[in-house]
Amino acid sequence: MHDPTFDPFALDRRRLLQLGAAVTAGAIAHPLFAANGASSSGPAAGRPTPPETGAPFGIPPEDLRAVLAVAMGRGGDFADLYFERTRSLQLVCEDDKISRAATSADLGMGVRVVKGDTVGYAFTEVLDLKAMKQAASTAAAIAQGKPGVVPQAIALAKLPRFYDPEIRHGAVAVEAKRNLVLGVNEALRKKDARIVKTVVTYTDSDHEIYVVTSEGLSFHDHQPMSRLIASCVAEQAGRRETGLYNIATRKDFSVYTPQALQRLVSEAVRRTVMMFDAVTPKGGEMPVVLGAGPSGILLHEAIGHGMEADFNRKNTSVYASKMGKAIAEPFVTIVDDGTLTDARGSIHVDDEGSASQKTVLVDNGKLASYLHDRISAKHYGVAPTGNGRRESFRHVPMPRMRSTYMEKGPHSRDEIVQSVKKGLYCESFSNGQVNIGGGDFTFFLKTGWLIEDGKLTRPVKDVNLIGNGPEVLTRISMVADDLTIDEGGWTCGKNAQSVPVSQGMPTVLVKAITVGGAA
Amino acid sequence: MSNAMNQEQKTAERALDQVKKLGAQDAVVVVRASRGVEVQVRDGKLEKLQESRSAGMTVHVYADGRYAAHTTSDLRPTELNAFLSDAVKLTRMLDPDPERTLPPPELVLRKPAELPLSDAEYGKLDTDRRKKLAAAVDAAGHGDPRVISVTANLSDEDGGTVMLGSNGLHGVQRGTYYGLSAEVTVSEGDKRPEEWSQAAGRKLTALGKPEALGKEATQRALDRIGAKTQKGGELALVVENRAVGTLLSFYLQAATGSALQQKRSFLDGQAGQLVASELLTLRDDPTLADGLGSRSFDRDGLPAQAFPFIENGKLLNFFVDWYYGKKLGMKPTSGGWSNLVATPGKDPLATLVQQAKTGVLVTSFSGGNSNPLTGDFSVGIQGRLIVDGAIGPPVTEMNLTGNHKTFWKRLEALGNDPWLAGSLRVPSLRFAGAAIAGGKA
Repeated sequence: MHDPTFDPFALDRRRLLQLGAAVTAGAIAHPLFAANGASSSGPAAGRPTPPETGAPFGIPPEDLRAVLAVAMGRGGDFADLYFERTRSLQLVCEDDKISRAATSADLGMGVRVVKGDTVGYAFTEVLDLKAMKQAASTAAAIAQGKPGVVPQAIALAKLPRFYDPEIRHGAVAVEAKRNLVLGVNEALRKKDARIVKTVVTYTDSDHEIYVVTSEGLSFHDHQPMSRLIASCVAEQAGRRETGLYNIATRKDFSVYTPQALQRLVSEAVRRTVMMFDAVTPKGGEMPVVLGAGPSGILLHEAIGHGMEADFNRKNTSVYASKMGKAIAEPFVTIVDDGTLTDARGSIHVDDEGSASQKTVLVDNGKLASYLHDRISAKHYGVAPTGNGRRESFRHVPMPRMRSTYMEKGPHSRDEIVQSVKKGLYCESFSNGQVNIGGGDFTFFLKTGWLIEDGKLTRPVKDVNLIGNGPEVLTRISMVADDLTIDEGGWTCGKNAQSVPVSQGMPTVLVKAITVGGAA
Repeated sequence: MSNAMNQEQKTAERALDQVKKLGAQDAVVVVRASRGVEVQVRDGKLEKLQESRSAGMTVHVYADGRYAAHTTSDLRPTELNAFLSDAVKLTRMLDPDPERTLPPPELVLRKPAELPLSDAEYGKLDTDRRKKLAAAVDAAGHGDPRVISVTANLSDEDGGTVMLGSNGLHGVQRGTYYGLSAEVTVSEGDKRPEEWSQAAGRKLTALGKPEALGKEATQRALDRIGAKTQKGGELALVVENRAVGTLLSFYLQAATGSALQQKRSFLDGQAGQLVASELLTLRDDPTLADGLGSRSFDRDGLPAQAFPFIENGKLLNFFVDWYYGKKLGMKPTSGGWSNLVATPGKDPLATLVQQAKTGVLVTSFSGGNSNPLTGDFSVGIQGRLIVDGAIGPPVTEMNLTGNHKTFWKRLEALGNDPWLAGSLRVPSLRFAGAAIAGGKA
């Protein structure tokens, strides 16, 4: 709601939300169950538009150089221009009809000038030369010196291919998306007689970026995204419960196959009706088994944010003095990976022109690398790791995660569950948060089970889990061989900027975590 | 943005005409414009200077019984025509929804009745003065050798909205906003506790002394040194004013027309019932001159009016907008809260702590969530132990778990210190025993 200023750091910063957890939820179409996942009308899966010709965003090279000349005109060390165009669509089915639809179109360019650790920034929503030069002049004002070097030519870099940059969700007929949403809704309704309300939400976006640097390099990418969320309310003997499931991806529309939609529907319903049997656990410290997939939220909060190099550069992270040291068992390897095929968190290039990569944070138990943007990489004298990301052209980039997960380990899931006499098994999560300096983090369990004598017995009501990053890492005592990247959509918030991320995990045993619950 | 929003007004008029010409029976056009500056100073050095100037339009199209909202930041006339044409076309592809209508003319604001939410001094604030304000916060935060880093941030904005509807709706509202904050990290071996402080307001004068903010954040961070988990149990709870908003926003998720209509509210059927302690009175007031949530009209264009939400513990109203109001057969109040104001108590925080005798003082919540359907919530807490009626050692890694249906009935006292740096203006609160989980300690 409207509360622009509430708790600026503790809440607006570093907040991870599963899409749909805080928002209303989301959907499948009968045509899809019937036949192939691809749409029945319109270009099959958002593909085709002829290849674009001419300069990206229609900006001629001489204009780029002219704007860069203004940006570097007062002695900045470095400048970049970030052009961005986004179109998006959202369809919401409530009360068995499309009750809400929204589109948005956004276009603009941000100019950043860096001088030492100081950043000047301005943006324009009008891409004419005059407006762009004006923004550059504003950003340049942080420096006071002789004009810097302006590139003679601007080369366009070739990008790798971790997803298909030719995808245009805008080219898929709205009719197909509408059918998808209504179909999922109907399937939810039919799945269980106890379902009394359903909300199905479909969202897609076509996101085009063009980064031009004062070093004479440029990077042009299209980053497609879509997601489908199914949420329901069930009623039994006068009691109501709610649950949801979602799929988020950079794949094209054909991702919504009958199998995927059935999984979406079954999981959404199962996660709802299981809550009728849920109990509030007794609170306190206990062994916690993190199920494969969404439990990657632990990594995101317990270590990922703490390894973002801006916090370490400022010496404000709990990990700032631990580089190269053993912080977990030797079978623990944690990575942040921008290269996973079609993952929501994948990028070909970051938002300041550094190549995406797979970055190892913890290598066989030892702290190995921070997540860098340009500024922090320069500070540490290392190469950027491709983590410089931003919410939009209205924001400056900073180190952010992509897809964060733990590599598989030597144990098996069954072996792990059976080893616990009394504890908690975590299946899905909705959100989390961390204090960077103290290392204390929380993550919120949406669905989980009591473990009694090595068996999953009863579902538990949603509770909060809380731990300390470095301490929890030392308590990871078993890691299974079943690494799963969660297919649900996650959005990470830091300094009031949101970016899409992914996460994953094999089944893991943490010897003790504090679980919220009854006194 | 232009001074009287004249340009935005013209843009909105043209768009409304155009959408009607394109065949939409009804439409509402919202045009927003804003400018702002953000200055960040860290440890004596300017870290970031950002200037923003932004405009955009949202068109709510009602065509042939169908509804959709379309937003763009590209207001060039040629682009706008194409955008509006696509907007109407897409809306027509959807399904009819008989409940999607505009409120009748007699219910909406038809003549702008602007609230004075702008600081006349805004234009006089230059970059140097901004840097000085942030630098003063930063400098005041330093001094103790345990301080690792201080970041001071000043964000300000001057913005406005014009809203025009085919039902005669005409609203204009401008406003300024200033937020000044400090974040401080201090040293505790490998751990680096951090804390913050903030002031915010519609006028620059509302920010108070920058030095006080820097000092407060540092003191709070130093107070975190040595924080550890403690044994949990059923403990008395005092929640400091700055943290109360988290709990209250959890509660409010269940208080909307949308939550009611979608059967996602534990407050369903509770209208007129006692849902909280009789000490609790919460009133929504969009008309406060200094309120950060103030507005002269809401998202449906209904004129601002104050109404009671909870009075002496009784639930009197929900936040119902026009659409869900129609579906529920309820009179619309407003789809979202503006400034939610609690009737404060007489005592300062120190007295609440004294009254609690033994328990926990929560200074901030961490993560957590709340289920608006069942009322169950669980959230991480940071704060201080309360020992013999006095503030004791810092605690962390603990969880508060409860259910809103019973939790708010255990409210035993309100402080005299409403939080003014946000739109939930609620003072510190004291609750009888709450379920707090901790470690082995």
